[in-house]
Amino acid sequence: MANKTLSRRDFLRISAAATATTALAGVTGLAGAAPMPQAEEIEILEWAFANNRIIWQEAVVEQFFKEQYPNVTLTIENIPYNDLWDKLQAVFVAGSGGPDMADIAIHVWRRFARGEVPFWALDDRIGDEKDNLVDGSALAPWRANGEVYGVGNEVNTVLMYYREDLLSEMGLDGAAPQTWEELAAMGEEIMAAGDRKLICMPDNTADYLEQMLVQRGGNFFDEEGNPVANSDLSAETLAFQQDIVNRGIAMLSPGGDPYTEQYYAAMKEGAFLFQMGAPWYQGFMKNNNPELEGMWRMRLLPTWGDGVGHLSVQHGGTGMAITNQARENTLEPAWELIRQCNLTNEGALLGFTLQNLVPTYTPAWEDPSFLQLQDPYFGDQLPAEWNFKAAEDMVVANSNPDWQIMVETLIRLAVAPVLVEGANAQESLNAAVEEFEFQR
Amino acid sequence: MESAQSAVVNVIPPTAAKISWWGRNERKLIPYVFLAPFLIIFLVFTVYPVIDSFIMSLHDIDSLDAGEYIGLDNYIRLVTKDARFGKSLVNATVFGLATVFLQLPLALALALALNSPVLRFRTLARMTFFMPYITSAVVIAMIFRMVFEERYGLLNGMLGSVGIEPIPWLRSADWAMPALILVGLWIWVGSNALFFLAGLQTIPEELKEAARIDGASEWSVFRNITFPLLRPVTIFVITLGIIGSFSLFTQSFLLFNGGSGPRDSVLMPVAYLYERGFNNFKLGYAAAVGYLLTLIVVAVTVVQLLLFRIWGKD
Repeated sequence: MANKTLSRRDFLRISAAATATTALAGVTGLAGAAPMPQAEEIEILEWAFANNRIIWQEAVVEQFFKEQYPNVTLTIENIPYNDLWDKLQAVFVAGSGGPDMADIAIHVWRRFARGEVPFWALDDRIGDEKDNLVDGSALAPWRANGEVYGVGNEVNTVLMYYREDLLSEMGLDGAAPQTWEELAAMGEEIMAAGDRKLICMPDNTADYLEQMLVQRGGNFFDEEGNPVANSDLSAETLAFQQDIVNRGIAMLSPGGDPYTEQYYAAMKEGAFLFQMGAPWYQGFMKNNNPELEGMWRMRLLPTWGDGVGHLSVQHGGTGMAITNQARENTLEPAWELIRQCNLTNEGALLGFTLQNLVPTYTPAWEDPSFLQLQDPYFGDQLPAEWNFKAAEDMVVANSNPDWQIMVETLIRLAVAPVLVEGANAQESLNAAVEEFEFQR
Repeated sequence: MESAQSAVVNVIPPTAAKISWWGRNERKLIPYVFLAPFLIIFLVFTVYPVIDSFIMSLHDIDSLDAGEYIGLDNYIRLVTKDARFGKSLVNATVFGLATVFLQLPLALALALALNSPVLRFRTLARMTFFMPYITSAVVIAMIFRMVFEERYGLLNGMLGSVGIEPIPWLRSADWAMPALILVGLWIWVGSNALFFLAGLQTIPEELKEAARIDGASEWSVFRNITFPLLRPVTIFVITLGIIGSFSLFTQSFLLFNGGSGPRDSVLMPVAYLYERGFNNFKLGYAAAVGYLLTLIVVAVTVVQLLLFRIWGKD
């Protein structure tokens, strides 16, 4: 089956049919002096995984979408992160049983992006609005075979966060270090002042490795899709992580990564004073440790000593997509929902106020409510200001359908052995890339 | 007499030609009608997937497309080149050995204790030991992730109170398997003890009494009467344990956060199948893992039953 494209013609045809049916029914109704017929009741089923995104989409439906489509009901099933991808994969293989729409995380999208893509292409519908979107966050991650299959709403600029209160007590300024080396030097001072550490290094995810590597110009894959995760730059980056762990400046992430209960417990305890994350990670910080409101600050990433380095890197993100199992009468309202969420000022700003996510829809950036919003969790800093600065120098990692295999292999054979067991970084990365070639 | 005969003729049903098709075949077909609900479900949800997945295992599939037919290449690659599959089998074997040599003796000891007439609150004790078995594997994994946590974990906290340095249970390739075995003990010792307990209660008390009257010690009674008579239960429990070891998935998968542990130290065959099929979208290869694993489990079970038959003859 060829990839499906939801073209203007498709929509015109469906809309015309719907209009004609409604008009005809209306005339009949008038002639017969019967009550006006109701518009067809349509139910859209969406599968999603993130509470904050569900709240946002439901708010868009309630505030804007319902006015235009009072006959459409949106049901969003909240499915645990990993289960969602398994379920989607199963229904796509089966050819039925799937939802009309789905929220697709960037990293997982890549596994659906080869061969027949099980979503509707949206290029024709997006049209000229593409010029109003930050391509690297809104469209590029969901592009395959030259078509765009999803729209992402958030510019995922990774920022550095630091505990301003605790650093001030030590007489330190978390905004001061401009390079990773200077940051490590501050780590020595933090260590000397007590039990606290500079930062956590995760050994059960390759997130930090990828962010720090991409930030300084490296990548897991080159532009042709060849694995380059064992480059000199990659080895230097992993060795740097190992060094600050070995020196006691950094600690291994409790629970293995920055998404575990143990990690948030350490965060609450003030066990570490710096961490990195995209704006969506701010939601995790707030949800898990609301009592730390006002204690954190945000800043740009430090660069590297050789003067190389971007001030931010794209990480994560989620896009809305229409599956190829969507029923025909749901296509138009489904697209309209995507449009209202992602390609209107109202939807984009609602996402920002509810989630702190900088919209990929750039006209929304002109809105005063966006520019002036202060975030009390970060001492009333202006998230828009910091994310603008980050977006100006944000770099995006090269995408690859085998990204998941690469990441799993790197964690297993490089990140964990190097950080936990003290293995050699270059040798471990070489072994990981060799294994990746076998597994892919 | 004649009138009686004509009465009989009157009650004979119309000629065969007038009996409906259903009427003629009803007796033959009724059993199949009753069986149909099960058979249909079985064919659709078991037989068809089994056949289809075997066909899948002969293809190279890495997307939603049908894939390319490659014969036995997936199997050959698995057996001759895939060190990770080999590692998963080794891990399952280690876990299986722990099941046989740690879990079962403990379960038997527990069953003997629960069977003791001097034990008070026996029902409560049985229920308590059985609870882990009926607790959700997800809940168990989440609890043990906290128990084994290096910095804040309960276990390291207890060990620290007696001066033992924190152990990286879930981070170290050396400690990951012991951690998984400990979880296995916690879950299955109680349920296996109940199997043994059921077996113990079928052993006639008179046999033991007679031996004791003849001067046999308690150890001698256990060694010569109790344990030999528990052989069917032991075979059953060991067989289940070995099969369970090769099909272990949820506990290891969740305990190690969806991973295979440091350096694949707790990678299990089913987890490898899941990783290749769902995470990596190598559906044909994952199907081959499933088939090969089935063959291995069947072979191990057959060998095991043959060994037990030899044991039985002794």
